[in-house]
Amino acid sequence: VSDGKLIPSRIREALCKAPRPLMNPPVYNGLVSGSVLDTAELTRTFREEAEAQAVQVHEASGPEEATLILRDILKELKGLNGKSVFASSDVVLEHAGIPDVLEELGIHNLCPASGLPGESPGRAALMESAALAGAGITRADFGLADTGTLVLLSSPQNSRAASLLPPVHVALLPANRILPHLPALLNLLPQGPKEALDRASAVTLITGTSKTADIELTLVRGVHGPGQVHVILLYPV
Amino acid sequence: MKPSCELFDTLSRKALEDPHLQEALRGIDKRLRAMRDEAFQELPDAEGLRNQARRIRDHVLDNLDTYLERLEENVTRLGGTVHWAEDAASARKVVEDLAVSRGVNSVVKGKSMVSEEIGLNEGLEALGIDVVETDLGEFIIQLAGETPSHIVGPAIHKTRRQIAELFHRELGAPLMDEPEDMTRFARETLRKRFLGADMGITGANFLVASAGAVVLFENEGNIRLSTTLPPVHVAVTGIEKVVPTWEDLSVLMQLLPRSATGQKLSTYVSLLMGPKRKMEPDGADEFHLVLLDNGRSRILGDGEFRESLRCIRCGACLNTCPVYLKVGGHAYGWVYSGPIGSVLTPQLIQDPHSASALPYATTLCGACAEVCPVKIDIPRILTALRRRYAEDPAWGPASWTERGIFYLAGTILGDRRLYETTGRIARMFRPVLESRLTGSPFPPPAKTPFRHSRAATAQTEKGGESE
Repeated sequence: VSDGKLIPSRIREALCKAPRPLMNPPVYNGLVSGSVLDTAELTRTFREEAEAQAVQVHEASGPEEATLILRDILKELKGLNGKSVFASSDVVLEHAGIPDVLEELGIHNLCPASGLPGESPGRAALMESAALAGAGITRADFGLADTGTLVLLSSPQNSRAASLLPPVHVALLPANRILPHLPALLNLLPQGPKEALDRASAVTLITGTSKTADIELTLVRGVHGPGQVHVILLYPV
Repeated sequence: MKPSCELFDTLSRKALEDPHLQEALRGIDKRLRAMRDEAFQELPDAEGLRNQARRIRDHVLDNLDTYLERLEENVTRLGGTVHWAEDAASARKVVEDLAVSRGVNSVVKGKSMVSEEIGLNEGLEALGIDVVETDLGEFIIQLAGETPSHIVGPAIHKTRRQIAELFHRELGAPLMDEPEDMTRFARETLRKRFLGADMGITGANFLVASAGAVVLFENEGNIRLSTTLPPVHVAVTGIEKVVPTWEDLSVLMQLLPRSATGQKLSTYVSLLMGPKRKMEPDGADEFHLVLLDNGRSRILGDGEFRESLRCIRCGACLNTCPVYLKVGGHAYGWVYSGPIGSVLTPQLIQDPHSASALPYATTLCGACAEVCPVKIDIPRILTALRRRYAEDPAWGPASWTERGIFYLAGTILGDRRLYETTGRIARMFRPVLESRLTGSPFPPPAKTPFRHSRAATAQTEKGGESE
């Protein structure tokens, strides 16, 4: 049925019927107010905006404090689900000593430690385990200050489901990776497919918890994704 | 979805008598509108942003062929497949063939107006494939066997009681009172479906030509699940959704959630670039993009109506329309409702004549154009559609009685002498008209007709000036 070029040629025909201005892409004249802000200002804005979206923001002055915070978050998890998490085998997490904390607390990481399965059969099992975990622990590649947004890039070490299937999501965000706003992020994205092929297939922007207002416009959190989101802001030592 | 636009009159009367619906519509009026206005107030230059968005959309439409080909090239280079679908039937066939050839038994769907437009679910179900809507609102109306009544809140017309009874009847759930419990129940029910699905189908809010990217906005997470868990992801969308670059997207991204739900940004925005890379643990192995024409290239070729295609489906015009806020979405008889529905439906459906009531489902107050993030001049298009219906036989049979009356009225009003003679004759019939029309006497007409006194005033003013 893919009649290949039929539609573009039909569009060309249609465009010839009505006046067609010359190809001249519109100029973007910087409609964002964002002046260059320092890290402290960006962090403060990020925190305010994220908290307005019911995200719990914690600040850690180094890996040690980060692990203490994580410990507290995990202790709060109720029941059997608290016994297992789904944590990416990512360098940021490893550097912060996350695997050690999990081991110490006797919490089982359902995410295979080395080399996540890249093929479908392995993936189905992986998704089942992610769905069983009490919390998903990931890194965040960027933060966006003016919306309190977490930006997660998919990669061989970073599962997209880790921030999605478990009822609680804990993200480690290096404080120096907070960008002022969305346009700043879009500037960093691969501009063409050539560049994109070497990078993430999915860039996910997360602002607040999963929510719905589909029943009588009543806000309910945690419909399909996590109802609880924690961000641990990690300052470089 | 089968259109029933010719029933606008009947359906809107029914809507006016539905107390639940009226209550729900009052909720939209009070809440969503205020939230939208608030979200716009904090933008430093909302007007500039809207102008920029309009320019981007117009630029894309004027060069749609170029950008679609660029998009196709880039999606293909990323390892995805682009399918061109001329009409609803060919779009359905593309998806059905994909499903059958991959042995798909179970499909999870994210909310997509285009899939409603082409009747995708019915086609797949006829092949014995299990299709489940996963957006909570869509899930509810799928269970009820209904259609969406709002672009953004499809089940906005249902009360919590009705939903509790529906879950009880259809899914054996206990009768629940709280939206929170019902939501939790839906989460658990749908979780199993996500984990066992063979294919995920979504729409697309935007397509970025330069990056070959599909952009999806949502608050629940069901779209992320539909694009992350199943091995095949199919995005079905209209050819007009493309934007040139990320930079253009950043302009529209600031407007869509604000206009739709009054949010700065939706909870989840997914920027998807092709199927998953080989070493990535999750995401679809296969990515297919179905680009639907279904009448859009015809609209593009019509200079008077082209701007209809600027629409980014935010629903802001619904939330502010005095007509929509009384009759609700179902009265419009097809997928797209409210002011933009009255614009799109007559241009998109097979039999435009059946939708001839829609351009009149408006007070022409202009509130829709005031909130539209891409500044579509909806009132202008609605009046242009009325003219099209009256003058162009392609839009349906002309009413000769109506034409006759307007021809006569036009002739009389255009000729002063004829007008005055007709007026004199009409005055002679006054007693007859009174008893026929109202049964009570008309107020007596002024001794001197207004046009005479007006002419006299004008004369005096003119005389005064020259002296």
